[in-house]
Amino acid sequence: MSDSDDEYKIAYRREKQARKRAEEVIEERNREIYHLRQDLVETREQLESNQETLLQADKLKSMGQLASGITHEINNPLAYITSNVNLLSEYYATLTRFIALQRLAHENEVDEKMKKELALIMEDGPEIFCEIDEGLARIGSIVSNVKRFARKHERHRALSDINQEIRSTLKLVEKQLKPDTRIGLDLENLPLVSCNLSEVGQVIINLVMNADQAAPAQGGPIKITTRTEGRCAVINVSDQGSGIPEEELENIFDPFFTTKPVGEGTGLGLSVSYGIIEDHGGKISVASELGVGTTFTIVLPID
Amino acid sequence: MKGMIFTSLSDLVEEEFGIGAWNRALARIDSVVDGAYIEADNYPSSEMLSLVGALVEELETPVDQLLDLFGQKLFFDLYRLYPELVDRHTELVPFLASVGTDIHEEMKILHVDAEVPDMRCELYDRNRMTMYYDSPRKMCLLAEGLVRGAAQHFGREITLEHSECMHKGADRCKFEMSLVQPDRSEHE
Repeated sequence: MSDSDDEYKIAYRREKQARKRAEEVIEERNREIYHLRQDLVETREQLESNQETLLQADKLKSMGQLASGITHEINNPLAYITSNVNLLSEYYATLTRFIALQRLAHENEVDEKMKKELALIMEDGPEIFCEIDEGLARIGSIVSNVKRFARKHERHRALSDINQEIRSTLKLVEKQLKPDTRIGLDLENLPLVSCNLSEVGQVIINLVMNADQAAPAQGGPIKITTRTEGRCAVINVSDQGSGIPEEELENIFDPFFTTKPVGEGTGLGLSVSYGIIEDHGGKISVASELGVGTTFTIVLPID
Repeated sequence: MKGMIFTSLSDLVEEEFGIGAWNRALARIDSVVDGAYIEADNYPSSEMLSLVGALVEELETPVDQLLDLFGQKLFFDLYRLYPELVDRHTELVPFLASVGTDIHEEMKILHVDAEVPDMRCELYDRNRMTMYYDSPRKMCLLAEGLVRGAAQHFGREITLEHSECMHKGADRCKFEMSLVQPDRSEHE
């Protein structure tokens, strides 16, 4: 074997060693690229989710402005209609007393047809006023709820025990729940939270009633948990109901959005809840899986 | 130091002086990978200095000549890998002025572990400049070869004076470069 052959042999061994190392490096780089890709996919999903949340918040803000304007416009005529109907009701009572007296005095001068008509007016009148009152009260309640969704309320805030409020609220609603509904509590010690307790209580009621309505006919388990995350108190209300379809989730906090049959819900409960939590500088979100259940999460800043 | 600098030297020696010369030079040093260099890895700078020393002895060539030759080869290998960094310039002087700033910055983005020398320039006009080189590896002669390789790439004849050198006690090396044929282009 010549010197030249030896030289090439040495070079060949060296190149082979270099090739093996190059293959190892390629493998390492491939693995790095794979992990980076995974990270990118996760980041993208997170960004898309954040974008959806921002769009949702933006849409609800616009709705709040619109609702605020509409409720203001409705409130004025509603006030004078209510006032005039009350006055009219008093006039009607006076008038019916007068008619009754006149009928006694002129019994023989009133024909049968007129007598029947007067009897009908006297009988139906109070019922008509009662229905008008109910209708006006309902309009007033809707307007008031829409205002709560739309407007900022900073009154009556105090450092409060959220866990205590949850326990008190449940005592109020338990009789309205389905017979087999059982509420499980897993409440961690929370620092006091600056909030309007009655408003937060209303949100808890809304979520518990919704969870109960999502449960089977006789009821089902509902779980409420609280915990601290950083400088926030987190409240979860979960049910094991039928779940909410994805296409409905994006509208769930919209005013007047409801999946209940006509007449069974105003569709304001969740939008009012949204308004209250946003007003407290917090966040409310929902996660749901069909056939598995739904979880509403409230995040309230502690400071 | 980036592996491509080692593979570039290996290619130069094998092409110009034969495989035997490269084998013998490697046998003179204590290589961490027995000379099996790849572009993607990094190797100690001290190994490059040992290799240059071994080649000077093996080839019986003065170190300045060897490094000058290597610098020119290295420029063309760098151009092969990163043509976009060079092709954005049409003239030698603006290209050299961008080495210490844009190009080294981009190299650090491409290779976070890249150890690039400090290169600063003073431009007098489009035909004359002073370059300052500073690096703990003191491979100023290689830098000189790189400048000559760049001049060759841009088709420019230059005069290059290494007026101050770290190997002679200066804090940094100073190169004064002029184009032999003045640049009359209106670009850059």
